[in-house]
Amino acid sequence: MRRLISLPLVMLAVTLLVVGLMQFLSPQERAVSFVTNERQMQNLDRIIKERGLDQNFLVQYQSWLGNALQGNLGYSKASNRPVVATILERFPATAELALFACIPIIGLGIWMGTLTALNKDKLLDQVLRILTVIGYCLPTFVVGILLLVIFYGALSWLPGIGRNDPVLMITNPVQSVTGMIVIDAVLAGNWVVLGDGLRHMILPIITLATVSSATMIKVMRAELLDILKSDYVRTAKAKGLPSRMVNMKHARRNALLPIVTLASFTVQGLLSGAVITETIFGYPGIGSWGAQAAVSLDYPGVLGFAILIAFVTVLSNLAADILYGLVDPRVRFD
Amino acid sequence: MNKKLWLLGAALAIGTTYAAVPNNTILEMTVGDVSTLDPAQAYDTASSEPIENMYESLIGYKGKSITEFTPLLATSYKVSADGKTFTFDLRKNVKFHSGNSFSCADVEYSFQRLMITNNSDSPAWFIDTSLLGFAYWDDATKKSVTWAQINDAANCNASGQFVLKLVKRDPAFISKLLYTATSIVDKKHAVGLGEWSGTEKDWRDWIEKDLTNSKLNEKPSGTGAYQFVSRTPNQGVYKRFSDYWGGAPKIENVIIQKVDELATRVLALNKGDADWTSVVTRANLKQVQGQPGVKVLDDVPGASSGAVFLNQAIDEPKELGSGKLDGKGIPANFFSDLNVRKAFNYSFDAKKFVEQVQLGKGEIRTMALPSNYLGYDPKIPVYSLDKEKATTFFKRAFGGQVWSNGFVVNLTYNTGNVSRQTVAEILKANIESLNPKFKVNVNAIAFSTLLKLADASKLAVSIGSWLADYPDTDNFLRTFYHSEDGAFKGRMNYKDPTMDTLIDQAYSTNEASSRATIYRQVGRRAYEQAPIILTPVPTGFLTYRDNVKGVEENYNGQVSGNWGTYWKNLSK
Amino acid sequence: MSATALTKPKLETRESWWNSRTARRFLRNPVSITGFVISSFFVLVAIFAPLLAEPRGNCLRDLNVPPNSSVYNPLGELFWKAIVLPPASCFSVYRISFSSVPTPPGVDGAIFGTTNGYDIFYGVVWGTRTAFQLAIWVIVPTLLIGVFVGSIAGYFGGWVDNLFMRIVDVIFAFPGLILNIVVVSILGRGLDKIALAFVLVGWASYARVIRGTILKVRALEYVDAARSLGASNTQIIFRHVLPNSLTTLLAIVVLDFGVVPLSAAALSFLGLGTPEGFADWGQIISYARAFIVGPAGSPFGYWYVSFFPAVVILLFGLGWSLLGDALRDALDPRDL
Repeated sequence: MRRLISLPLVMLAVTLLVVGLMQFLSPQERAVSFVTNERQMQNLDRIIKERGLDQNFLVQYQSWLGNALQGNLGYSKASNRPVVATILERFPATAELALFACIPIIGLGIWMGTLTALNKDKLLDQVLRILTVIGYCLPTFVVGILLLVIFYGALSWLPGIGRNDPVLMITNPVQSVTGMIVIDAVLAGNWVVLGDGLRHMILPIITLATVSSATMIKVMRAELLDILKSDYVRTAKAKGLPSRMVNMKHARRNALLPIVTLASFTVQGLLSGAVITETIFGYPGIGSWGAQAAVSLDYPGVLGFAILIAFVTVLSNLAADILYGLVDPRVRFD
Repeated sequence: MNKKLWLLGAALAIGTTYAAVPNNTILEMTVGDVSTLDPAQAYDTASSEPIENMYESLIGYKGKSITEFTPLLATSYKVSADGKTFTFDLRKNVKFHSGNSFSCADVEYSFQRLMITNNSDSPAWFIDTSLLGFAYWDDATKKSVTWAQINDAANCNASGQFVLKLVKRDPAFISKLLYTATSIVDKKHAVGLGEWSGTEKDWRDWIEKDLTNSKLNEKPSGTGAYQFVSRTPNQGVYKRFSDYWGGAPKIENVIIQKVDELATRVLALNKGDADWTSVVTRANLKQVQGQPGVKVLDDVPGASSGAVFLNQAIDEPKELGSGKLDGKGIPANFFSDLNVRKAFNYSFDAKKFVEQVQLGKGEIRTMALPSNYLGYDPKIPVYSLDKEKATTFFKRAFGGQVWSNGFVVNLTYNTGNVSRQTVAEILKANIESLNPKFKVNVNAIAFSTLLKLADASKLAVSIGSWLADYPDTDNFLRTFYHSEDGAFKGRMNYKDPTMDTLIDQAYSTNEASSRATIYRQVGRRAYEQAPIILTPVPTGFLTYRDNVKGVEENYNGQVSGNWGTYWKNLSK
Repeated sequence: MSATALTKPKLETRESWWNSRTARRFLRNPVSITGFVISSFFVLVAIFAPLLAEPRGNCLRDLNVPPNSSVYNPLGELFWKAIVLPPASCFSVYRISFSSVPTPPGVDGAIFGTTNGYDIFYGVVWGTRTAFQLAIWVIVPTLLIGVFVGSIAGYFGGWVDNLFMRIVDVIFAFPGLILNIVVVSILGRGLDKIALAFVLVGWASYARVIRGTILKVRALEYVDAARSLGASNTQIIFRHVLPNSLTTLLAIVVLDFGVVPLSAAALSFLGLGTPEGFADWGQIISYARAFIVGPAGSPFGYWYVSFFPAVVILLFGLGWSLLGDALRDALDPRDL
């Protein structure tokens, strides 16, 4: 409950952080985000005057906040749409991708983490650890483009661009209810669109999993090792319980606790951290928009993005707390 | 569990054959995002492509020519003897996408709306310049301009003709009507959506209105061959308009998908998942050229003009170093010496630039003007790398002081522009090789900072380019060389009364041949005075699938950014 | 007699370090050794960059190298100047040509090929220095701020803890990469600005870790014992609590050290890296972005453009990561 109360405060603080940072910019630099044609660069002073960019920043923030409280977050130059519309259109795409990406990331984390911990310092452990670090230390765009070149370009196994086949969306349209293609397709019972949507997610998900599962594996391994050393596991083993059962039932269940926390971090990291993956696969999500807004100093865009992510972060922390309570009987949620 | 897995597998397998784009559809993969679909506000190439195909102006380009025009929504026009009144006969039996009929009221509304809403991000400034006599609204004009003035400038006469009245003669005016800004919008539809009413009542509320997210942006309705279907993130869909007055086009659907990553677009084109895509630079052309099914239309003349600006009155002590010719800086008037400017011109290796950066496909021009424009003279000589001549002129400059003492000079370009960076580095390498006392610093700064400093004469040497909004020679030569109206005057501080007179003279007549003669003189004088270093202009190219027909025979660089022709001319 | 008495214990401590459980555990593990070897290799490359990739162009001029002379003489002043204090221009990658298409290894003497005309080998070698410089600029301040905030919050608890942790929450609520982008796009490009952006984002997670371990450590008996013996707050923080918390942090810090160039590469991808031509791995690998797809008929024809910078970024990360793991395992008091 306390987290829910802190939600508006965190959101407010995040906007203040952005606004504070933006004050380091001259009005000219901020005006550039309104320019679509190089010709207009000659017009910067006019743009500043028209948009009131030279006003005191408190005045600017006040007017933004006033509008925001009425549900108007302004117009994002980075997406060429109002901020609220942008979020409504793009968030489902990223949420869908992030949730599906969680399956392999958490799955791999638990499975390979257990595997490496139980085989600590054996060859399997060493090899798997080095492989995960390699996946983690490769630049995302190199992984993504290489996957595209191989599986889309050379082998033609998988589609690589966007979240659906645009031609299919003309010949076989599906009513958008949630904005998530998978759910919409299931609701409409349209299996062709469902398959198309799922296949479009495979390469981005592999890219995300390659670079994101390393942390999960590492934490799982460390936690499991910690617990295997702890007294109660030793006691259980001493009591004569079969070691496999001890490992699985007692140790792993306890190692899942930090994984729950980490999973909530991962979801929230994926929501915003899919910047590069979304760019490469032309995926119309929230991450690429946030990055573009930040690069082009699109003031309302960055603020809107920040608010959204703060919201998601606080909520996912809350979800983690609840899950934590479910996994660990000692933690009570109140 | 098993059943679920089976379902999932089945869903994944359905339609695994990922076919190329069907024959009734064109799919483009672009870099730029449409910023608005309101023609009165759109000022970028990504937006003008769909606008040009959904809307029409009074006139259009005639085939591949950029100097000859063909009627579109006007069937013919007359110019009065004083060159100030244009009277248009309008096409009959034309329908908008909304079903409304096209009439003179729509034309009147479109032009008046454009004039009124003209804000700082709008292309309307060059129409207002002709019709109202000012480029932008200011506090004074907001008060002084009356409804009568607006209404008189663009009006329908009793016989249903449309009349435009200019404040003074403007030889470029017809060219201006070719920009998408003058597209004719559907008045009934617009007013119904809540746009400007088209009357005196609320016109002042619409002055300088930002139309980026206007109602017409959301629900466009024009007379063009294609109509709006949907716009979702990264994707725009358009379909053919069956009631188009020119007959329904062959291609049914056009999809524009925004894909930022070059590698992704290249793969899509090679596989046939995209019919057209942008490869951006020639360096990447090899990745698609020679792939089965990919066609490259090469040697498209470049539409811009690039230059290195030599500032003759530098207004920034920091930029000057010591401020003297002592080998540690330059005086503020360093470039006012013709010898220095010529020496710099002889130090630039345009051939190497074309060969290495533009991979042999660049145009070394004689004037700061695209070669297919009125008055371009290919016979004017050009400067090319000549270290002996450069040395000679450096020795002559400032009575020999430049050569004996040396200098430190700054060259500035905007961060991220590799081509301009290379221009600077080539100049640096050649100048420094002439004399160990010559030192050149290459600086990169943000574009907005560069413009601010350059326009305030605070940069010694800056690199830039110009792209015309409408194809008229004046738009280039005035910009580069006129000491009062030139957009680059602050970067150069080049003042030559003869030059100004020539440019003004050429603009005071509608006679094409006499204008051309004067422009050739301008070009020759610019060569003699060397106020700038002309940089080679890259030759453009188009990359698309070879089953798309109708591109080559219709290509016109001023039309529809991506294809160089209207979608209605395409087929598969 | 007195001399031996002085030296003997010293010898003993050295011996005992080599024979200590930590060291033995570290040396026993082949993965730790690999990590150590890779990291040391990068240290050597960074130190001897001027010898591996010979300065040319402006770098040579700014070093005031006279004609017919080289930097290879270890007795000469130039040698030491190039190694210890090379002029800024040495960090601009030498541009062999202005070719916009990559040229393969071997052409024009570029043994790793060129990208955008830049010598990839030069960029990779001098980029090692940049990588270390950036990593130090990022890690040291992040660590200091993180430890300071974390220990204060963890030790004092109450409203102090509450205040600091809410600030941490705000930083966490803002995704790292996006905040980095905002800061760098506002401050402008450059190594120092990138470092500042990373510090602004990074301190929060260190503070959180330190706070967490301090809460654990504080509950242990010996801290209570120290307090009951009359030790002051500062003494307790510096003598007892911090050293015990730092072991946990050490492994994370070493790991992060290796990932700094990788994170900087993400900024370069978005055009917010170091200035053009700066010897920086991120910059070089981002040039490769447009050339991962090869020319028609040869799908990996430009392999060298991405391969070499990707390998160094990878190895750098791998080396420090393995080292970090090894350190954590070795320092773990509970392990046998």
